[in-house]
Amino acid sequence: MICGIEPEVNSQNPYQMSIDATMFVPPHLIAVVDDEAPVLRGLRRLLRGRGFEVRTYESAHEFLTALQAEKPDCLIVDFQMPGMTGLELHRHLTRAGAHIPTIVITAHNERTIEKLCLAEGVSAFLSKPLQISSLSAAIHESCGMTAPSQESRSR
Amino acid sequence: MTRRGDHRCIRRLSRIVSVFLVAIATLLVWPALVSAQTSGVAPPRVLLLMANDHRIPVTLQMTEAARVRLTERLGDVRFYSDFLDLQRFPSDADQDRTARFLSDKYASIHLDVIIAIGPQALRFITDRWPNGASPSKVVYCAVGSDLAEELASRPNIVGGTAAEFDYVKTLTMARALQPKAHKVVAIFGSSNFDREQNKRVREQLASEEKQIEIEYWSGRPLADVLRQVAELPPDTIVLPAAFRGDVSGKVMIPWVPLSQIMAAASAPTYSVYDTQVGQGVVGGYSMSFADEGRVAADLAADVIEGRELGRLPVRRPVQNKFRVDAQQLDRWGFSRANLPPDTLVMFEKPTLWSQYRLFVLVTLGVIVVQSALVTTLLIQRQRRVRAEAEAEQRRQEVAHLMRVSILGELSGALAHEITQPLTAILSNAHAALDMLPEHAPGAVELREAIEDIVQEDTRAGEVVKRLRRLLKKGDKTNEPFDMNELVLATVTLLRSEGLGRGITIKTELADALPRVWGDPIQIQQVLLNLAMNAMDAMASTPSTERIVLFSTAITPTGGIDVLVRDRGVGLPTGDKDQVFKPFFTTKDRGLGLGLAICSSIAQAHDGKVTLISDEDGGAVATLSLPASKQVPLANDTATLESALRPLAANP
Repeated sequence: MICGIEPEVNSQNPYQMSIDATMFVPPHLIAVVDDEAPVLRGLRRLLRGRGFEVRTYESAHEFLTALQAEKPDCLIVDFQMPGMTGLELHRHLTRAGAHIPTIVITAHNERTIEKLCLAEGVSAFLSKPLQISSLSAAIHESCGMTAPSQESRSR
Repeated sequence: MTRRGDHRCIRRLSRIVSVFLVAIATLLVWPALVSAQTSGVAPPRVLLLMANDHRIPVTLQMTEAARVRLTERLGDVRFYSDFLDLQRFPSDADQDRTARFLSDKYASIHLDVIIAIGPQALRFITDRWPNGASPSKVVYCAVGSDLAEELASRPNIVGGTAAEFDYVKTLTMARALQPKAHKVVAIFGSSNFDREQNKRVREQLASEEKQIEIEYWSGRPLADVLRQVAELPPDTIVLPAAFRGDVSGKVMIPWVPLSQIMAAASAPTYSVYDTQVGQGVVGGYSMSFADEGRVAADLAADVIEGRELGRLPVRRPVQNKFRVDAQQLDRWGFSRANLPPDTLVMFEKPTLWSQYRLFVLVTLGVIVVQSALVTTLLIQRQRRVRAEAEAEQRRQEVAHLMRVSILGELSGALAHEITQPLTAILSNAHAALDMLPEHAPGAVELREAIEDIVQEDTRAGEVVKRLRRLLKKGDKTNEPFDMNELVLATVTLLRSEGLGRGITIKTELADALPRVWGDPIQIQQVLLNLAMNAMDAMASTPSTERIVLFSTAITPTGGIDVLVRDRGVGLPTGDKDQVFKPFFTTKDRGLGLGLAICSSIAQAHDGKVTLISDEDGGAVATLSLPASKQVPLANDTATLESALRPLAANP
């Protein structure tokens, strides 16, 4: 349910928690691709606050260009974008042998697309607006981190 | 040799030509020869000798008919005519003078036949005509049998017509037309002729006097007669028989007083003279004077042609007939049914049809054609108006459909456009919460504010998701759910709406309801729609009675019924199923899709929505779902598109 957010933020200072996460390993690099800048900014703020290194790109092409320089640990990509869609990007990466855990986010919560994406090996499919708990769980799973248990986050 | 042969040939040819020419000449000349032969014989000469003057219609009719018939029979006939005018010059001296004049006049002319018109003319011939060396044959007409017998032995009188006035038959006809008549008035003048006629009529009608009273008027001055005849009751039968002079001794033109009497009479008049028919009499059993003239002419022609006539004198009959004046029948209101058979009805007012048949036909034709044209145009106009109205309705429906489908089309884009900022807001809100120092001044309120943002953002996202799910194709869930719970959830949703409208929402839920398979959101949509309809129907219901009752029940077959009962205006009259048709609405601002969508959602769940008028007023909407089983839901059913399908199939 929605109220799952509250215990998470109420339990402890999330900022503090993210610092905890960075204490063990270098911060995970998360790439976010979405054609809308406000979404990118919001997610960047959120994820940075949670201790992740964040790169944002406004298109799949932009991301692919940057990919040559560094490879992210996790890719969050919008499904519907002009040019290459999130799923197409994922396919492209898979075909190119770049195995980046990919979380597809979409404003169209269509089951068929979700099924398709999951069948193609996408690690998570989340509908917008993003539930912080689901997002957090998906990122942690993608990055091979131990997801913060609900208990530890709930009050 | 050749030359001699040529000569012979030419001679033969000229002979043939001359014979031919003679033949042609003969043929050409022959008619002239024939006519010369006939013209060589002098045409027969016929004298028409008339007793009175030339103005008497009877005389004119007889002589004219005789003239025509003689010409028909004999071709060229030389006619002579003289009027003795014995009415005004009756004395012996007058007659002698006329006789001398006529004998001088015709001394050098041989008359083959003299036709005497009227008894006086015949008597004049027998007594005074100086029949000399070559005596003329005499044929008479309009002469009574008495005189005919008296003069039978006279030489040169061949004979004449045997015409009798039949007053008995005339009276029979009059009584048939006037069954209520109880008196007959026969009117005579005072001249010799009149007195003679009086005697004859009395003799003829003697037998009738047993059946009806007959009054004979004679010896009265014409003025008196005219006054008295005008005072007769209308059920009298008036016979103006003869009036050639009154007591004063004044001689009158025979038909003038009779016509005056007929005009003055206040009762129907009858006459044995066919010439009077059309002058004011109803009619009578009369002979035609023209017929008499023709019969006499035939006899004269026979004489001239030298035919065998049999024993002299020859008396040739003239056929009498019932003749009536149609105008007089109408004037007195007599029924034609009472007329004797074979009555000749004269002066029938020509009908429009008989007069202008072609014109009438053409006019009728034109009217029919025009009417047909007008009718056709009217029908066409009606059809056009109807077609226009239909087209207008279709256009509106299509416009509706367009709007709705555009909404459907837009829903994806709309959801995306709203969801994106919601995503950004939510991310930022979470980030802000993360970043908020716990013990900063005002941190508690700030945290609450941001938490509200998170909550409301999430709610808005949820709304968009549902809207999207509602408007887009397929993508339904199929899960078991508790109908009672769903009803209660729906009632909760409606509570505030009900409060605003002063409507109480009640529930009567059945215990131990089996779970239903389906899409709870869609089923809730149906319940919401039925409830909103119920509320809308109660706008004019007194506020104390504004109740919507939800009830659930298990059907005998194990299915579930959800009833939504209101106390509103009930169902619109007319087609029971029309409320389920797309775009049918009774609301001013209704889309007309609610029940159509409800119905197709129910059908997709193998159920149905029914709507009936409640006995206590209001309406009962029932959503019936089948017994619990997993309903396979096709992706393309139970949404707007399937609700619109009947319309799309029938453009």
